[in-house]
Amino acid sequence: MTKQEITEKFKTRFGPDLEVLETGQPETYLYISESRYHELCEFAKNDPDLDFDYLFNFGGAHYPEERFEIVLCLSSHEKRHNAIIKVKLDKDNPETVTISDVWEAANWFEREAMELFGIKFKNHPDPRPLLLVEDWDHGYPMRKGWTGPDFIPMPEE
Amino acid sequence: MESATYGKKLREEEFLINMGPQHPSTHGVLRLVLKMEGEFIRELTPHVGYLHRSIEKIAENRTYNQFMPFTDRIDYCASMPSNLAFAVAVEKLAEMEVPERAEYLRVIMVELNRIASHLIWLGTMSLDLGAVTPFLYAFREREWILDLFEMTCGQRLTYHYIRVGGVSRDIPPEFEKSCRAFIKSFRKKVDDYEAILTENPIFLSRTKGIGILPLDLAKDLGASGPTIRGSNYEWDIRKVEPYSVYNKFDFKIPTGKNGDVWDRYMVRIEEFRQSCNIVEQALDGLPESDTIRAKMKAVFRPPAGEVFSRIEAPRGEMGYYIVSAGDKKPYRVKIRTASYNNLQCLGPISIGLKIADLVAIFGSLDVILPEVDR
Repeated sequence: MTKQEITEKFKTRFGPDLEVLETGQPETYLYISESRYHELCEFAKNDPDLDFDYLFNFGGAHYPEERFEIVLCLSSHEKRHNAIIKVKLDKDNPETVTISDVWEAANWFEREAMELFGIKFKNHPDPRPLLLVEDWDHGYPMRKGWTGPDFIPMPEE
Repeated sequence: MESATYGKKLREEEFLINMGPQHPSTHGVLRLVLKMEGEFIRELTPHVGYLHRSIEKIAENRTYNQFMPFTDRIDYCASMPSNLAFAVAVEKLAEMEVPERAEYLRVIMVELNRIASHLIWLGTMSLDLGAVTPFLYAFREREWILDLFEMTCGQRLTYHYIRVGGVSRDIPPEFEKSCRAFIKSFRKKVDDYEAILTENPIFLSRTKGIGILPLDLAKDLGASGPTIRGSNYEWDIRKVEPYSVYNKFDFKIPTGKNGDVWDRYMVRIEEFRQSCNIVEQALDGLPESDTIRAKMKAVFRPPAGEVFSRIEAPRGEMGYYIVSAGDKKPYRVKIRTASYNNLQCLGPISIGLKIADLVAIFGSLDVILPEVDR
């Protein structure tokens, strides 16, 4: 499907909960409201035309003044098209539901976002930390403005 | 004389075994906690993060060009593709044209690095299975490739050769002759590896029917590269979404049949030959030109926006998601690596097998830990 067709398909189903981003990139970029995020993931995976069976990339992002974001890069093995789905989360208490029941690949991605950004994923089957040392207690290092004991910011020239 | 336990039933229980972090066949620092029932694995939990260097955080504190050497360290057995993945992403973001000669040089280097990386896989996996000879052979051939890289960019492991907008320097005059000689000799060497391993009864009994990865599980877990191709699925970013100049070359995508260890082995063996074809075609078509890097401003600031891109690295797909705020430093860099997802396949397909099989399966997935931990 082309970029327009994918966008239209999502729009007809999710209408007002959707915000399409004009980026000039060849892929569809859109925001979905947090309340319908899980529904959209199920739809994207199970709809025969979209057929997004491949969660390619998943990560958090931090915009300290406004919001947290999670970003999903979806891809389809058979249809060979891509889409980027983004969700805005609360800046003080970022929380959403897990999608590891939709794509198994989300399991580790969510664990990583949990410990590096402090984003909570409800109903996650295995919410242990993934990458940091076991006794880590210096907060969430990927948040903007984070500093830790050994963190030396790059000097401005 | 009767033993004390004579006539009594032997005690049965599940027990936990720690495999790693320093274990010769985990190829790096990976800890596997195995729940065993007798000799059989009932549960497998990988513990990663021993090599976490926070490369994504570092990226936010460096300019685009300063970050390039760090990409070498994401997968140090295949630095060229790691460089390329970041370069392709930034070029897509900045809509930059890369000189054609640079694109050809990139393809040559990346494919040579693919061969070198697969040689490490071949050597270490066969060593894990008890065959020492292919290890020595593989590292002998890899040495020649490293010499080619050294004469091009002066480095043998972390090349920092592919840059945003092109490559750092042109190949020296003696490169082409040596490279062609290598490809010619290497084709025969691949036949030698096959003569030692492919139909070897011991190798067959260790690999055939072991660690079958079903295709739907591979897709669900996001497996890529030879791991998903071994499960009989033709999926290669070089063909699906051709980047660089890959659409100009004629090559095949090898696939396996059942998705067992042997199929993944055969896929990589065939990829040796396909990479040789690509390198030869790229050397034939290498355009003459003096420009090998696009013109860039002294302070490079790509426009604000975000970009998603991916390439086919030796272990599978390596992708970047970059958010730019129009600054000289990226706002957010998310690196997606192949081993991260391929390692998640290890647990489900090892259940019910023995530890010796686990070693074979882990070898066949070709996981490299710095790529998982970043």
